[in-house]
Amino acid sequence: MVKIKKFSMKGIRGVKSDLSLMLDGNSILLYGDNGSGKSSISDAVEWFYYDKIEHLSNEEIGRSCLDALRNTFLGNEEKSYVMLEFTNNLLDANKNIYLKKGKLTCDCSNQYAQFNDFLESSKKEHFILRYKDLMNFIIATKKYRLDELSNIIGFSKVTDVRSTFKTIINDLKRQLTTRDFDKQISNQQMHIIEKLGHNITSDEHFIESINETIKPLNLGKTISKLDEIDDILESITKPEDTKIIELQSFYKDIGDIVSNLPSFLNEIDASYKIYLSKFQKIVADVEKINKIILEKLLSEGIKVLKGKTVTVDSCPLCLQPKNRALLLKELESRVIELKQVKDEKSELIESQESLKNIIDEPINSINGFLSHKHINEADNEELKKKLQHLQTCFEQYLNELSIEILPEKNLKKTDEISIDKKLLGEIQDICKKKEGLLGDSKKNDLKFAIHSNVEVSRNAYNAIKTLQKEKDAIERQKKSFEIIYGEFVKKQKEGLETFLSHISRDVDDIYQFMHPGEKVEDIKLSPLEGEDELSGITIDYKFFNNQATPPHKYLSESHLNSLGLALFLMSVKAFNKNNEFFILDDVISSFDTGHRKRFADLLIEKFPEYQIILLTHEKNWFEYVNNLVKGRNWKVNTVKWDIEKGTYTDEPSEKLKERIENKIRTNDKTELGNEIRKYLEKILKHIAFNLEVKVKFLFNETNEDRMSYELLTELKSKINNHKCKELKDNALIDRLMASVFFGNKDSHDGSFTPHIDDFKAFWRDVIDLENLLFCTTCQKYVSQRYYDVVGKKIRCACGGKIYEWSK
Amino acid sequence: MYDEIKNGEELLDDFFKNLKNIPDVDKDVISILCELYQNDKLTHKNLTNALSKSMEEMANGKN
Repeated sequence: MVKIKKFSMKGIRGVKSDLSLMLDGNSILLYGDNGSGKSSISDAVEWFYYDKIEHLSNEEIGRSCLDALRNTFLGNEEKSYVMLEFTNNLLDANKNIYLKKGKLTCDCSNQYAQFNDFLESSKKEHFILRYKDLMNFIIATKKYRLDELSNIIGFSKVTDVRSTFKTIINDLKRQLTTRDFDKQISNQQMHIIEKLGHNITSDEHFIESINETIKPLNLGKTISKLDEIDDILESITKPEDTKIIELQSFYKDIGDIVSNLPSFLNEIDASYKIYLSKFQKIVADVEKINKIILEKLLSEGIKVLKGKTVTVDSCPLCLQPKNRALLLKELESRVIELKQVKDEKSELIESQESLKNIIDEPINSINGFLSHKHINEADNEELKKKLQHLQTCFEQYLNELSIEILPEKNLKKTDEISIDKKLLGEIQDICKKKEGLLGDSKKNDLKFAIHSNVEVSRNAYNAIKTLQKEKDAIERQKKSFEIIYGEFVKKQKEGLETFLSHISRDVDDIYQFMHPGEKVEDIKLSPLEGEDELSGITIDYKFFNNQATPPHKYLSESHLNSLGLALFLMSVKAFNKNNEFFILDDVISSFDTGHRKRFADLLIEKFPEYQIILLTHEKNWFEYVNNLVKGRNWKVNTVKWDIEKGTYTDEPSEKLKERIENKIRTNDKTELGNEIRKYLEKILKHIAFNLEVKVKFLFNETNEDRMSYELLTELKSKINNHKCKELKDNALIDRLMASVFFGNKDSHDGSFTPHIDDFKAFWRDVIDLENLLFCTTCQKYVSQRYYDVVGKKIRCACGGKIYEWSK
Repeated sequence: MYDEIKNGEELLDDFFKNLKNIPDVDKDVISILCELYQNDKLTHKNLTNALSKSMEEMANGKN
C-alpha cells in the first residue's frame, strides 16, 4: 500500500500558481476559509485517479470536465498539472492539461503497466469523502446499496452466474412447455394404435406385433430384433408404391408438426408481449436511446483501439492527436458509466434472441416441407400456399424483432401479428385428407397396407423413444439446474452475510466511538430477499432498545453524518488494498461540538497507520485537531486565496529559507525584508512552543498572527526568569528586536528603502537565533520537554544543545 | 479480519470445485458447467449450446 510523499498542483480549479505539500507519507491538517479553494486539492487527487471529478462530470460540463478543471486565469502557454509522488516511486506521475491546437488535452508522464494497473484497481477504492457525499449510501435505495457493496467484493460476477442459471432453468421449462412432449408422444401412440390396433409396451411386444402384422404375407420369416424391420419393409416394397409411401409419410410429418404448433404460438405471443413492452419503454426515452447509440460507438471504438487497426497516437474518429492508451482508458471508463443503459439493452437483446430461438424451430420445419421434392406438384398447390402463408406469419415476428432501437420506432401489437390457429387446422385437414385418399387408393392391396402399417408404426415407435429420451434429458437438466441454483443462492447469501456481519461490526464500532451511550446501537447491514432473489441491503439499528429502520426515520442529520462517516471509514479499512491514505474534505460541518471532538479523537486513535488529509474551514475544530496532533508527525498548514495567486498554502520553511538565501546571494531586495520577517516568525513560534513562552491571550483569529516583536519580548523575559546565563548575556535577541524593523518597514512602509546590507545583517541574526535553539543533529528545538530537573538544564532531544534553566 | 471474506471470484471457484459433491445433479451437467467455468466461457449462449448438444446425444443413445 502507498502513501503520498509529495503532492503538487498548478492551474487546476482555484489553484493558479504551484501549490505543493511535502508530506513524506505523513498526515496533514489543512485549514482554509470557505472559498479559499482547499477543495481544489481533493478535486485534483480525484482527477488524478479517476480521470474525472464526479461532481463536475455531467452533460453540461462534459465527461472529462477538462474545461471546468483548468484554472480560468492560466495563460494559454502554461500547463496545468497534478503531480503525485508516492512511497513507491514507480507510481510517481504527473498528469497534465494543456492547449494543443486550440483544444484542451491531457497526458500522463507514467505509462508503465504497473502504474496503469495501480490506477485501475484503485478505482474500486473509496478514499475521498466530501461533506455532500456523506449520506449518499444511507439515503440510497436498497438495491443501490446491494450493487455498491456487491461491486466492492466482486460479487457482480456471482450475480451474473446466478442470473445465467436462472435463465437456463426458464429456458428448460419453456422447452418442456413448447415442445409438449406428452402431446407428441400421445400423437405417435395414436398412429401405432391406428396401424397395429393396440398400444405397445416394450420392444418385445412391438416385435411380436410386427410379426403378427406380416403373418398374412407368408414371407417365411419373422423378425427378432428391431433393426430387422428395414429388411422386411424392403422385401415387401413394390417400386410403384414408393411415391405413395413417401407422400403418406410427408403428409403425416406435416400433420404431426402442425398439431404441435399451438403451444409454440402461445409461447411466442407471451414472449413477444414482454419484448414489445421492453422495446416501447426504451424507445420512449430519447436520452436513453442516445446513450445506447453512444455506448455502441464507444464499444466499437474500444474494439478498434484494442485491435491492430490503429497504431498511431491519434483518435481514429476525429484524427486529433491523443495518446492511444489514454484514449482507450477514457473510452472504457465512459462505457462503464453507461453500464445501466447497456444492461437494459442487453436484457432486450436477450429477450429478442430467446424469441428468435423459439420461432426458428417451426420456421426450420416449414422450410423443410417447402423444399420437399413433392411440394411443387400440382396436387399440393393448396398445401404449399397454406405452408407459405404460415411461414410468412412466423417471419412477421422476425421482421418486428429486426426493427432497430431508435426514437419513435413502433412495433406491431401482439394481436396484429398473432397467427390465426384456424390456419393450422386447415393445414392439418389437408394433410389428413390427402393421407386418407392415398390409403384408400390402395385399399385392396394387402402388401401395401401391411407395409404402411409396419412403417408408420415403426416410425412412431422410434419417435416415441426419441421423444421420451429428449423429455427425460431436459427434465434431468432442469432438475439439476434447480438444485444447483438453490445451492448457489445459499452460497451467495452465506458469502454476503459473512461480509455484511464484518462490515456491520466495524460500522457499529466506529459509530459507538463517536456516539457512546446515545441509545443508537447494534447497527447492522442486512440482506433483503424478494422471492428467490436478493433485492437489496437494509440498515437496521436499535433506537432506545427498539429495532428500527431506515436510519433517516429517527436519526438527526448529525447522527446520519456520523453513520455515513462510519461507513466510509469501514470501507477504507476493509477494502482499500492500494492506497493507505484518505481525504476528508470538510466533512464535519453538521457535527455538533461534542461529536466533532469525538471524530478527531477517532481519527487519531483508530487510524494511526493511515495518512489522513484533513481539510476544514472550522477554525475551532482546526485548533483542537492542531493541538491533538502535536508530536504525532502531522503537518499543519493553511490554505489561502488571493486574486493574484489564486489558492495557495503557506510556504514550507525550507523553501522560504532557500529563496531568501538566493536573494541575498544575488543582492535581490524584492520582498526580502518581508520574507525574512516571515521566516523569523516561523522559528519564533517553534521556540515559543518549546520553551513554553507565554503570550497574552488573543482570540483564535489573531493568535496565528503573532508579531515577531511581541514573541521576542516574551522570549527575552522567559530567558531572564529562568536565569539562563548563556542566553541572557547574548545580545542577539536585542539585536533582532531592532532588526525586525527592516522586515516591518519593508512590508508596510513604502517610503523606507533599506540597503541590502541591512537585510544581510537581519538574516544573520535570524539564523544565529535558529542555530542557538535548533539542533541540526537531532532536528529538534531546545525544549522544556527535555528538562533536567536535577541539573536544572534544558536541551534538545540528543543533548547537542544544552542550557542552564532554573525552575 | 477481512481476510476470511471471500470475494466473488473465490466464492465461484469454491462453488465449482465442490459442484460434484452436490447430490442428485446430473453428471453431464456438472461436467459441462465445470468445463465452461474453467475455460472462462460460462455464458448463457455457450451453456445453452452445450446442454442442447448433450440432450441430443442422450436422445441418440450416446449417453
